[in-house]
Amino acid sequence: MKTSFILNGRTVAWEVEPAETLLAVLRRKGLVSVRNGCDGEGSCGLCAVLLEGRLVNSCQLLALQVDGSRVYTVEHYGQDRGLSIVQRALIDAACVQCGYCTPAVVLALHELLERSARPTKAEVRDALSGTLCRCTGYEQFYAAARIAAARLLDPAYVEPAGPEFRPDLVHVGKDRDKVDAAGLARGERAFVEDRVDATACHLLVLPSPHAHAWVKSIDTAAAEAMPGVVSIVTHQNCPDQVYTTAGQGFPEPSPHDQRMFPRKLRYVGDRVAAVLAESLDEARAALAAIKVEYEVLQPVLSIAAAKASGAPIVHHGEVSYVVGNPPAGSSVKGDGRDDPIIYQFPLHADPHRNLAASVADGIGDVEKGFAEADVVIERSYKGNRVQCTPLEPHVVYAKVDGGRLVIHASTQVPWHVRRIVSRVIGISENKVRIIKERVGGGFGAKQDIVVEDLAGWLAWTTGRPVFFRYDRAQEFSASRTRHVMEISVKLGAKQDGRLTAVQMVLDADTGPYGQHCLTVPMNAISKSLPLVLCDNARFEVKSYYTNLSPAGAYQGYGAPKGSFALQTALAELAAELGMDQLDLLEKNRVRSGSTIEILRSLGEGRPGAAVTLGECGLGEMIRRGREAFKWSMPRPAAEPGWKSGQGAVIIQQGSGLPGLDAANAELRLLADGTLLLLSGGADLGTGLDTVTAKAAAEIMGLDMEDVAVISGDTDITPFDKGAYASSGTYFSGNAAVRAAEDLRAKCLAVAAGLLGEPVEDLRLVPRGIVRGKQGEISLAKLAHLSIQGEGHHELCGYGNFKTDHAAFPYGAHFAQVAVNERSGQVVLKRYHAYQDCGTPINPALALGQIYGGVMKAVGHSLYEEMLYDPNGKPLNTGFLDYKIPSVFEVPEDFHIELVPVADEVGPFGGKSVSEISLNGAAPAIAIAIHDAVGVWCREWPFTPERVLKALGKI
Amino acid sequence: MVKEYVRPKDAAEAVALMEQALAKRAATSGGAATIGGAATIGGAATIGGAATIGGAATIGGAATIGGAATIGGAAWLAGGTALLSTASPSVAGNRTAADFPELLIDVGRILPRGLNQTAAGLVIGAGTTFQEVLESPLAFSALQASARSMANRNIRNRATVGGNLAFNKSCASLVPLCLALDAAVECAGGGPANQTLPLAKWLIKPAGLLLNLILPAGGGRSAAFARSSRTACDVSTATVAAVATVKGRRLLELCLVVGGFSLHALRRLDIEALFDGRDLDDLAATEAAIRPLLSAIDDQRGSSAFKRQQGAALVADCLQALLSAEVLP
Repeated sequence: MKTSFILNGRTVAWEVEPAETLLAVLRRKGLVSVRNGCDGEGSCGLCAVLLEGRLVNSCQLLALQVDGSRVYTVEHYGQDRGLSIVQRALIDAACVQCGYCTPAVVLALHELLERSARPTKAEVRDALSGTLCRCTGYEQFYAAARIAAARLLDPAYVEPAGPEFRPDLVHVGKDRDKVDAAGLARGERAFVEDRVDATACHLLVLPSPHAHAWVKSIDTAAAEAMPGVVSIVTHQNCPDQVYTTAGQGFPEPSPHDQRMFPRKLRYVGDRVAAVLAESLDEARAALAAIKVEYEVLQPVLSIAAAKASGAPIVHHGEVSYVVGNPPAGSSVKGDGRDDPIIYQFPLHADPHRNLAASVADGIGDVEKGFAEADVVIERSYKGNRVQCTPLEPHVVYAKVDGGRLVIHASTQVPWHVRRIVSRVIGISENKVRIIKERVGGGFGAKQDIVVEDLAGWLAWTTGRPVFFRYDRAQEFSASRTRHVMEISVKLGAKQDGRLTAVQMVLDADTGPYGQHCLTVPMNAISKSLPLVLCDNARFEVKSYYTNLSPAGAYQGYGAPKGSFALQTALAELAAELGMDQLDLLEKNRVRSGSTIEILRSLGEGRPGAAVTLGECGLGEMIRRGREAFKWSMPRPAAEPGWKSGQGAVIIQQGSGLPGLDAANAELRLLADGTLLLLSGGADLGTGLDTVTAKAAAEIMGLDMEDVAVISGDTDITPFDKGAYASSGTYFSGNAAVRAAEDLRAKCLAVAAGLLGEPVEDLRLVPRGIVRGKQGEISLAKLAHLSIQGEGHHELCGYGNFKTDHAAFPYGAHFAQVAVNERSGQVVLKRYHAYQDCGTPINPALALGQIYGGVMKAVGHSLYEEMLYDPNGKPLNTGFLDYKIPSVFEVPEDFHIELVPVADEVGPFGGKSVSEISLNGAAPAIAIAIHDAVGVWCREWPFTPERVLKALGKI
Repeated sequence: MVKEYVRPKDAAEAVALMEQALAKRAATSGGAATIGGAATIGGAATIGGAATIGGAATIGGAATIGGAATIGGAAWLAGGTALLSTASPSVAGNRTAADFPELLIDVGRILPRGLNQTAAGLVIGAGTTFQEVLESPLAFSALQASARSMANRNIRNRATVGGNLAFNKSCASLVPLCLALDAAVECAGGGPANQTLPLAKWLIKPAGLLLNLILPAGGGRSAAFARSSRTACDVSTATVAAVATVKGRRLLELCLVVGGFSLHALRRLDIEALFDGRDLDDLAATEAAIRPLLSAIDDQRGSSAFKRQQGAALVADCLQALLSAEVLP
């Protein structure tokens, strides 16, 4: 059927299917700015268009319905590579992070400004009510709307600069445009799905309907005979090897316990079979024709069930050790049927007892410490399974080009993808190229090789281009989640609040496979325990297999759960002692010059060492929070029926993995004097490419537009460990610094020869001039002379960064809530985050990272939780029932302050900024709830039901 | 799955198209083919307005609309926010594309649209979007609150009044208030002329294409609406609408409708009996009196005990709000 309408001011007449949505047709016609985040639920708003001037979801609109109408997409505003007032304002307000939702936000704000020239905060909130964003935390959208409105009235309006740092530097510490922001705001091709050729085949996976089952038989004959089917893979014809999907450095501290298609299915959503077909409909039809017979087993659906004597065994294959020996008493002999497990790293596991990993250590003598205490408390806390929910789900496009496998990936770890995929397929790494496209949100879920192994294998074996994209339901059931953790905290203290002993015993649920099974739970300890100074401290960590959704990395990497347990326990101890919770924190926290002894036993798999801190900003942060919240004053009155309370916590994270990680960069001087930066770093929307570009511009005396960044392409850019463990700015940023310093030195050396002056008399000055005492030469001329005729060689700087230095960002978060004792509802009224990220390289982007991190943690604290039926089937696999915060959940007073304490090794004094910001919300809110209504909520999220239970109302 | 899409020029043609679709289906299935009887025609013909498959109203709400479609169903379509979302995997559940209606009759541009104050009351066209209701100066406070409870602005810009009534889900935004106000609906089809009948009756046995919703004049009564949800833009987990003549703390001729505790929002005569003609007690006592009358199931949105407590608090809040609510025009 034909539909004809005016699209972005031009009439189009397109043939469409009756059932085809406007979203599908627009994407088919190449308008890629309309994104699909919810598969037609209408819950994410990323597919928004303006229909007759109204913002509507194109996924809930048939293309035929718009016949004769006027439709606008973001492409309308990006003509001639310009930017609309709204797009410019969003960039100025640092609202463009991963950029997947940005086109929808552009349209929403344009619609708003059409009807309201000076929109109120409530109007902005309403305008954005249908658009989900997981990166930004929404707060900076208010500023964008205000800036855009001001420029509508006065096009020359200039927003006053935000806070600036390092006055001695030109770019660093000042706000500059995020280097990829304009393209993302225009909705240009940037993501994997935008790279797919029309001839691509479509890959679908048949998911296991059972949480724990053997595949007794599988019949693919009928499916294979169906039209358009290219290949079908099952456990019978996939590569026969086990690996881990964890995108960690090799040897990975995760068991190799996963086969491309397992012989035994271990969770609802596990891979039973996959169909590659020439169209999506043909793939669907073939998938439905596969006949499978299952032998259903009793599933393991909790940590308690996994630990129980006689529990069903999730992994019962032969166990072997590449490094080390089996722990005493552990079982290694398999059942002869299940897939094997190989350990590349000593994890102290006993998989046939469902123990995936364990570790225990400490300092001092905790029993002596408890004996010396005036007060001892022991409390148990639980954090449930939460989803990363990147709005761009897992997606990959793989094809064979020039005899090599080329994978367009949405990944945080291009080099780990290359290593793992090449080994799975059985080809050398030089046959594989990974191109990291813009990533529409990762948050840890894309640190794993979730889709690339299968797509790569099928592209390589069939020679056909393979497009594989999870739908939202798969993203919920077969992505990577934050581990469930049950943490028991025992504290001993003197009457004055001084700690005499701290003990944390942690059990984690790693789900069906062991990716990150040791490191995530360990991080819960290693990013919480070192915040307090105590001579006697001990921890025990055990990670168990279950038949629930796979766990893995998630922004914060376990730290939010450790922080919740320890910080809440400290507040409970304060209450027990009749002390103010902040006074108790002040008495025990780390401070400038502290020696952190517990780090001796927290060595990331290697021997650790105590660290003596330099300057620590926690005192100043707490002081600012106390003042803003009028801490010692009576609590503000709540509305009738509500009670008000407040809580505060201190938090920390790391900045990469000292002694383990490495990053590299290469900086080329081009013939016109501009720079091409080849960074291994994987920018997943965080602004890492902007950090590295700034380093190059700053050191080379150039403007930001003089630097172009290519990153995360394993053929073009040098090795980088990837974007995880808060390492981006610290490691990849420092690699760029070193590459720029190397290039600068080379330029000065060449210029010295050309100018005939000693190199020590030369300096590089803006914009791109090498100036001596006698003469000067531009970088452009220098580059031209170097690569032409008698020239030396192309001027190129190289940078490598690795370190043993540990850089800790710290923070203090303050929350104020209102609690309704009748309904159990908790409303977050105020949230202040005071954080030290060292020198903020780009302050507004740093704030955006914190806003976004906090709002994710707020979601985890109040709304988000994966739910399962009694058979282990996930119940809430869409945004309709898994509630991530919308703009309405943002607290009315949401305030971030940067309290920088420069690090001596970090780039320009910078440290990490993002992951730490998830560590505060849960304990701060739990403490505030107690302050309001006098009960402790020890399991998060603090849903109304849990609050009512704590209150004894139900 | 959808095989055909048609856009009739008026309501009469829309009805005729639906009758043809039903007759065609009846000829192949041997069933009845009259447009008036939802129960006999599988629901598809009873779609009220726009955004939804009206058959859902008689066969159990959204979760069962596939049932209507699998028998070769046709559906009226206007906004599409509910109907088209049923194709989404997370909404569809175990239904497949084969369960979706084969024929969509787009009535989006022929349904009456807008709000008009008439002698019969406030007339709202079935094709009026929720955002248009919200923006209308004729919308009184409780009506605005009901309209605002619909998801978010993107959805409100498309979702229609008729669709919300026809789908009649447990969480339907408008149904509680409309029932509490004893609203009527005007429909085309099922007879030679348009017919007007009480909404309550139409919801039990939807007939024809819903054209207008008629909210009778207030007559000195007040109205209040309250809802609970997990997040602000979430579907409602419970809804309450209350209408009464308020004298001091006394509620007279109380009419109370509660959604979220049954397949559809229902008038609760049992709760009304507790408070009608009496002075309203404090919140705690009100809530305690209501709680035993609510029943709920355990599901992913909460335990029965939780839902009853939260629902009782919500009903109590709504009754309390009624004391100071706007007197209806």
